[in-house]
Amino acid sequence: MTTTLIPHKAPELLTNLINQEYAYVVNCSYPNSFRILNKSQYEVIKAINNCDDIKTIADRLDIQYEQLKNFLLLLSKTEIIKFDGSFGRPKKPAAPKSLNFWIHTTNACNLSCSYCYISTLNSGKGMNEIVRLQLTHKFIEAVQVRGIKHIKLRLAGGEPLGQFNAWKQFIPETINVLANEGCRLDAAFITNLTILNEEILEFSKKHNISYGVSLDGVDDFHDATRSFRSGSGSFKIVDTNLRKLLAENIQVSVNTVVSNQNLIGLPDLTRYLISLNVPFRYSIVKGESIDAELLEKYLSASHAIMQDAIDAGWQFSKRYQFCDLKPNELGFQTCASGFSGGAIYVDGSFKYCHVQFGQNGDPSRTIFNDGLDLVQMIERGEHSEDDKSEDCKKCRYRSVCTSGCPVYRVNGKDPQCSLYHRFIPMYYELQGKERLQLLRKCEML
Amino acid sequence: MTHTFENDILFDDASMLENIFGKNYQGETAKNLSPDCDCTSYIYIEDDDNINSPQGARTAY
Repeated sequence: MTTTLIPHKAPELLTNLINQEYAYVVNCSYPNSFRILNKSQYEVIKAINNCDDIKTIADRLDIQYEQLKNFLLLLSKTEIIKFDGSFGRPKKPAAPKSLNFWIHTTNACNLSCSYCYISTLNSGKGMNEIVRLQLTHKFIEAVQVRGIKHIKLRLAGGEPLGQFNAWKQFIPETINVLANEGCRLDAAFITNLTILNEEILEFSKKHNISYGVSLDGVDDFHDATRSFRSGSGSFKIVDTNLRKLLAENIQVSVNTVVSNQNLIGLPDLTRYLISLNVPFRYSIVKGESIDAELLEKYLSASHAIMQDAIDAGWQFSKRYQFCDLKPNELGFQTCASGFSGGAIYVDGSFKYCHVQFGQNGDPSRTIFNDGLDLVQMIERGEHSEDDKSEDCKKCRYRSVCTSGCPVYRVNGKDPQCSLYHRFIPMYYELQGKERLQLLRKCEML
Repeated sequence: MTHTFENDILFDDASMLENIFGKNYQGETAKNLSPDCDCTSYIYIEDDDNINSPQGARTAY
């Protein structure tokens, strides 16, 4: 009976040699399925043709039947192969149980970045007490009515740390009030990191606050676009404060928007971020063109630096993210917008995405609308996340890329689609090298 | 003595690393990345059924 079992490869399976001895295999539609194969296992994967049964393959490769069956059962746990051919992929749950909001705490900023997208920058004041109280009220309502178990706030602006005094009371109070309702609240500052003092450090440690820091490059590359209003650059201060956060073991990650202005500095920035051992993300500028040839050149140079760092023990897959790609965790959509999140402006108005601040919208979409809870407000709003091209729907990497940022798609695709198709296999190859390095370090190879 | 796995058909790097670094080693990779610097997608909660195959749910973070 068992001899009739026919293994089928996952349709979105990707396998490639890492070196002469090892390969990787991953089902790009099943979370965390990445694994290393030795030569014998790689030959098995290649021999699976979705027609031959286990015995036929075992005979052809001269492998014991039971051993091969056990190996295939192992692979079937993460749907690398299946015996019934019914493969799954990440799906949208019926309703969200976690929410994620971008909070525009203020229009005020101490920097004057050349490319800032906030059209209302330096107009008006920060979010006031009335709006914050209403936020808490709406969170409690979402927990009680919708059974929400986790809320993540990303406090942005403007510069949110300029508003620290207003939020240092809100955060612990809201953490406590939601905890009493069975919901966890996490908060992060999305900051230029030019404002940091002992009080903020202590507060961040005590309440497990994390940080997302904008960095355009090292020294002059950062200063060219991210200067104070006086015109002086901010890199030295950011560098000092970044090291303080890391020294205090406060969770911090760096975001770099790669554009024509800073791509030449990418290799130096890569060395700098690796030396700090900080998680970082490179994303490609949206809404403006970028020199594709130079981008490829400097990204490749940066990836070569990463390769050397992997050989020295750097944890590539725990430290580097490219754009919004999710090579291991995968997803059914790129961001939370339209399903489990959105962006809340200083006055409490609700947007699909923070890049829409300053644009006219439906006046009923505000946290002060007591007729809509937060989940309803998301459900009844814009749903650009579903606008995906037919190519994307059939693509092997659809759960890795999820068609990119829904606000900036072109004909339902991320403008960097072809770059992703080259980058994703290379990402897995680097992850494979990292894995082999770790296995050797643990004396398992 | 270090065992050589090169031609072992049951070589299982994922289990080896889970034995050393914990059950959720692979999931931790994603969770620890840059959670505040990307446009974070949905965070699965333990009782979410997040894979649409008959094999059932698996937490993706």
